[in-house]
Amino acid sequence: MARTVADYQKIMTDEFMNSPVMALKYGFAVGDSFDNTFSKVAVERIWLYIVAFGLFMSEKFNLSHKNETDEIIKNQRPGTLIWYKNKAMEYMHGYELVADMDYYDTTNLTDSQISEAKVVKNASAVENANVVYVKVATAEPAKLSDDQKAGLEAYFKEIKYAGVKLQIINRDADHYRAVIDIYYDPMVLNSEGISAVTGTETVRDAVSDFIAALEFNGQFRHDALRNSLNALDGVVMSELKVSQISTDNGENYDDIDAYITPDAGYMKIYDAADLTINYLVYETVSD
Amino acid sequence: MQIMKAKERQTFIDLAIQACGSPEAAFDFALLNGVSLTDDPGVGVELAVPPVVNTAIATYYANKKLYPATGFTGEVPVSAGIGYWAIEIDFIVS
Repeated sequence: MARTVADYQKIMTDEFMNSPVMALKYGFAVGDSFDNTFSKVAVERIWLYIVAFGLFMSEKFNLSHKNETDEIIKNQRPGTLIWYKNKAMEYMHGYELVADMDYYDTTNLTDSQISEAKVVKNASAVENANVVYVKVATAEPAKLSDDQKAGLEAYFKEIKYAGVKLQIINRDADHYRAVIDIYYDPMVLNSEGISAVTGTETVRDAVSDFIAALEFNGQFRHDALRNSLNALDGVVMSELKVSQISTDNGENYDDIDAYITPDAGYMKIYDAADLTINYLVYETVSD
Repeated sequence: MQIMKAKERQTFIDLAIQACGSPEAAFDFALLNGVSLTDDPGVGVELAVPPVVNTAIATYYANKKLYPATGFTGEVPVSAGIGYWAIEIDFIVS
């Protein structure tokens, strides 16, 4: 825990007040309280504050540097899931690894060439039943091409730890479908959910945005979706009647129970018909 | 997260005093916005504000609408003329 400016100041004033030389020059008794001896605006106090502030800042710099270094070391420890994830994102399609090493020689490449070659922009590593699954996707996110996937597999064969079973998951987004009841305020939305101000169906847009904004391999939570819908203008309450995910291209759907991590790492609503929104008037005063 | 804009000649230390009530927040301010503490925050650039350190002072600055601006990048103007000349500097005693 970083020390505060006041802590530094206290260390210095204690030292100051316990010094026999200072006591003699200023005429106070050794060990007196600094606060009672010097005024709030005494130049001594101001000087000590300035020095204390400098020390405080320099400690802040050092702590933040240490935290950054710790983070780098944590990411570099080989063999962890984070390491597999980072390695997946470092894969450069179309380039050879340095012989017997797990990195590339990029000395003759420009930044844009490197960034173009790094095809994996989203990655996550999870372990299940002794198999490390590395989920990958491009920036959009979308599936990598077959060539890119084959390259990535060869790359992992080269760098992975002996004995580790590793499987790369490179799939199209999982299908999501839902039926949502929206209780709306008729002063703001109409029965089709069109906002009187913007002229768009804000709820539908919000659901798509919510799903698109999910972190790669992040958890999809009903609670969070409902909260974001309830925050919209004109939405009083929302109820998820059906919420399902399909991992096999929309053939079979499974119900989502409160939360789920998409198997492909990401999901999307492919067809507008997959998202049914029922708009119900919310009436506070009964007839 | 609260957002604020820096004014002409405000440094991160000024902003920290204005928004957080203490210069101790200056480093957090710069770190949060991903720039160096000694960089010019830039006039009108939107900056994220770190947590308040001293509420009383921050409120005082807000209520009185005080905007400290101590950043200075220009050169100190040197006044000239016989009224400003000094012996041993402009007048050589020989």
